[in-house]
Amino acid sequence: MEGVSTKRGKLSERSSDSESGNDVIVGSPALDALMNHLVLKNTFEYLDTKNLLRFSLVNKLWCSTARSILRAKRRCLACIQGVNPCHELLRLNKTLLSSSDDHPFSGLGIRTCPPPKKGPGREEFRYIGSDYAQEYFSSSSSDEEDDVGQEGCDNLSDDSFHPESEDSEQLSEDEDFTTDESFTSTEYEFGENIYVNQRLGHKCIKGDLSKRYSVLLEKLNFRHFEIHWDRNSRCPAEWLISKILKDKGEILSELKVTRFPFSVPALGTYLGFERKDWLPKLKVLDLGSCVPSMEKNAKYDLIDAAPQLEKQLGLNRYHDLEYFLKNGRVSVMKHYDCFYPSNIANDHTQHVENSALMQFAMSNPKLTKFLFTGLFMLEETADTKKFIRDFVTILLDSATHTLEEMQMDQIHFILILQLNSLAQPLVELKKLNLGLSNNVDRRMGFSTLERFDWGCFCPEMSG
Amino acid sequence: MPVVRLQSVDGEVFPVDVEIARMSFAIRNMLDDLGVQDNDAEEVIPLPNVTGPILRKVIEWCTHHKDDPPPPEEDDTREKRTDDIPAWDQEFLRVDQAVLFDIILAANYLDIKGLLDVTCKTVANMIKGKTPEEIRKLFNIKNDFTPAEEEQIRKENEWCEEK
Repeated sequence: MEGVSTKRGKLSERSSDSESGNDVIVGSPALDALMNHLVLKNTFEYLDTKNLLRFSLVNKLWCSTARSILRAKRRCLACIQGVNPCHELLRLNKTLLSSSDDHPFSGLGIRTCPPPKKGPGREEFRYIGSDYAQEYFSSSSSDEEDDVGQEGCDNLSDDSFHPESEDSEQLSEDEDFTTDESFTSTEYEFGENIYVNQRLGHKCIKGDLSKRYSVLLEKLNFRHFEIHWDRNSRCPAEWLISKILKDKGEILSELKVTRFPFSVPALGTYLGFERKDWLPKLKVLDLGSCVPSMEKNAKYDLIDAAPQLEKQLGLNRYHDLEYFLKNGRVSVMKHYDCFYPSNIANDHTQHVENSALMQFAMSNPKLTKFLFTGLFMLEETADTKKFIRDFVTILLDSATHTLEEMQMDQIHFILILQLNSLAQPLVELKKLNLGLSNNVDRRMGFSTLERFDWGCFCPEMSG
Repeated sequence: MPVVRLQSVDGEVFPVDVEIARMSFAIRNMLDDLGVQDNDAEEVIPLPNVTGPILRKVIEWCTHHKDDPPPPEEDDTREKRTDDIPAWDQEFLRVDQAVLFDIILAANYLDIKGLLDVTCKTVANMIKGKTPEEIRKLFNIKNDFTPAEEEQIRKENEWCEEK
């Protein structure tokens, strides 16, 4: 395109940037294009969160364009993740207060104060029930600051410790909570260890929390919400979790739970919802790392609350199948661990289990992650082998274009390779965790996998 | 095949099949607003924001893509891919950077979504991973933040963590 010109005349005056080695475009078409909001927006659609955050520092137009995409189309959480979440929340609130409306956040990631590893306070976790939530909300939104503060801190304090004198302080909105001094934590010795008694540090629990966190509650988008909820603690972070779920549940599109109090079996009831579908726009429910700490009914309660749910992430096992099958929600299940406990070996149980598994496979699940970890414990019979073959054939047939991660031992892997249905590759499979055990191979009389054409089986595999 | 005549800012006139010209929503709207019929072959549509050489490139792209099926609907909340530029387009866009940006401006002005997408994708690949300072230097962009504003943005960005 040598000789190309534009209405601006000379097109491409160029010089060399000796430091970076890059060509420097002096002037116009690039600058015109990259200072055009529509062009910039279209270009930024192709960039990830990290690049967009970085480019928000180029200039004001790049900043506002990058941030509009971050808020509306990316996962960009304001994360509360330090050891003093209350302190961080107050800082975040204040940071947002003093900034413009043009923040980059698509939601909030929040965690409650961690419980002490041992020592006083540990045994205080208890289920108080929905009355607790109701009372918590009603009292904290009242003007009786001292009552709330006193109740919040005293109920959680241990007799062996002295509630901080700040408990009786009047806290004002003008008070600066962003300094270390304003956050009241108490170090105490227990045995050889020193603990920080954060339970006593919640002087910020006092007062009208809706008012104190009003900026955070009003300005954040809450498309995404991530919670790490350790316990019933009356931590302000816990109050905010409940408040946000209660007030913003209707707009959440993605909820990620990394820890959930075992003592809260049904969140809808806990929060006092009368309607069942209190998460009407939720598309993704990620319970990836909290499933072991979560009462299974709490999981089902969340799925029930989200009629538009498209993906439930986090491993499900056999005991979950009944719920998904009965409620017609198999299509939202994306992760399944086909773990077969060794204590269900009698024929009758096997039969029942197998039929549920088969029903599941035949429901056309579009899994993205499949762990096949326990079936080798079954006695090796012709029926068993046939069942495994049929089950895996049907299951993988439905997930040929969706399965991204798979884990299994090599016995079953070899079994799968013998299936005609896998003549077509798992085109999206990127990660395969293959368990190798010579002992199992010998015991079960299987041959060992020696050579294999991975590209044929899973062309996209990266690890 | 009916044609329309597109005139660039420097006076060059390009006869173009109507079907191809209508890939530009701006031209489509002009034709519709003016009530220009398919057989008004002598009608000249002036394009005051596009030079002849750039208009030639745009017409070349539209001609190549005239039979493309409509693009699939994308998940609006996911980062779009940038590694799927077709080989023909890659070759077509192997031009001086300034020409690339002129094509972008023309695609934006003429409202040709496919061309705007593929050129913006190319630019996204070009700028990925660069620092703000490198971007400013490369494109001669002025930093219009005050130090306090820049500090505020850094502070807000510190809260973000992609997971």
